[in-house]
Amino acid sequence: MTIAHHPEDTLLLDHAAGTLDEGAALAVAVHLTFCAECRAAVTRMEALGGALLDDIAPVAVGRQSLDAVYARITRMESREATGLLTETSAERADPLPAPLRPYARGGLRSLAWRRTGRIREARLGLAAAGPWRASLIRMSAGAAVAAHTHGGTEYTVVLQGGYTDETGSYAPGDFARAGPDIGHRPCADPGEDCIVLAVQDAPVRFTGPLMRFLNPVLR
Amino acid sequence: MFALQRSMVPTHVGALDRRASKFAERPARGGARPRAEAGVSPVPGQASDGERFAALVAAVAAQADRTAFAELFAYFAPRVKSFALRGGADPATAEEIAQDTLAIVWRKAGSYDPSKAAVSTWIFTIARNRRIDLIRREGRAELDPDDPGLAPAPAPTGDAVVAARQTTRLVRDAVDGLPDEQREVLELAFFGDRTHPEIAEALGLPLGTVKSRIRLALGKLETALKGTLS
Repeated sequence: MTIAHHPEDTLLLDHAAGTLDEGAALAVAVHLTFCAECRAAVTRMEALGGALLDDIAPVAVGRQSLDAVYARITRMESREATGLLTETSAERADPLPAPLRPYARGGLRSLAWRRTGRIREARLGLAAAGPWRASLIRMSAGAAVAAHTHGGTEYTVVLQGGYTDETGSYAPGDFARAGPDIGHRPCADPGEDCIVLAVQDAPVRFTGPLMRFLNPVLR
Repeated sequence: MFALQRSMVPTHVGALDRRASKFAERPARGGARPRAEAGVSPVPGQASDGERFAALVAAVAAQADRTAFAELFAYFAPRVKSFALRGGADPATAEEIAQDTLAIVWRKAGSYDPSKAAVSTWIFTIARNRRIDLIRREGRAELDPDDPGLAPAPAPTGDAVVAARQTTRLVRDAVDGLPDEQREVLELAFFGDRTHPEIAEALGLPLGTVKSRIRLALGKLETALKGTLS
């Protein structure tokens, strides 16, 4: 599988440094499941982080710190023994990419899908407070999402099928960035439903004549 | 095999102390670093820091070796604490992040793979994830290496461990050779808990300038690593 659309290297760096908000980090992490090339790039960036950590001026830890670490280890071991930290085999068998699993414990079917015509959307619950929202969007084969622009930044990763819009064609693993400068009308390719992860830090704004009136009530 | 690694442990205490004091003199951020020391080879006959740390992690994994762990702790806990403080954590939280990180090092020592990353890189990623968990209280979207959906990486060529060692040295040299302005941006990204747009704002620079500094630094890394990673 060849991935044609990747996150910018500066976004990968933010991910390697651990500074992205949860929603953006989720989109990048899902892309990485599909893309060995970007994984290798992130690995190289993490090596930069390791080299910088070697160079950092150390700050003395508390006198009892090592003992406290052993106490933590003991607590971790007892928690693992009671099974609180282990994944169930059902979760292992879930076909969703690993980064999405915590947000859809029971798989795709367990999510609350909201239907608008031939488009279905399931909101994922992010743990962090803040403006980011994440959804899985399922477009029936050949169906289009109404034309819209973006109030902020939107990252989209294709999980299944494919779609085409004014900026190009996107297949599984492809990563798309859209901002206020980009208006589009994504249309699922024929033959297969298209499922994407979409994360946004501001709501979209519909621009078509019929959909515009929905803007105040969405989100 | 680990009998050899175990015998290595006590002989390197001196080297560890020397290195710790060397870095203790460094300024907290960018600025004048003792460049002259970059690239100095380890004492002849002794393993490099990277190999020594890998041997210590192996000793922890194989036999819960507390002496080996105490050495890892002495080197890395103060660095992880410093890393957390630079990211804006209060001292108590920074101490917590350092303790958590080292506890995870103990628990996960068996899954450390010296062919994939240097010990300092591995510990950086653990500390980074703990910082996210503790400061932001949000789950980290983590890759699962056993994920059946994970696109296969290209097959490694040659001896992966040797390649990883070489990579560590090349990354080290590339970082040492960065101009201060590029290093500053990288340190703000990795330690300052700032995204690149936030870095631009903090430094009062156009976003494009920050991006190009990041790209110049990444470009040097790529050039240095060309042919060693695939």
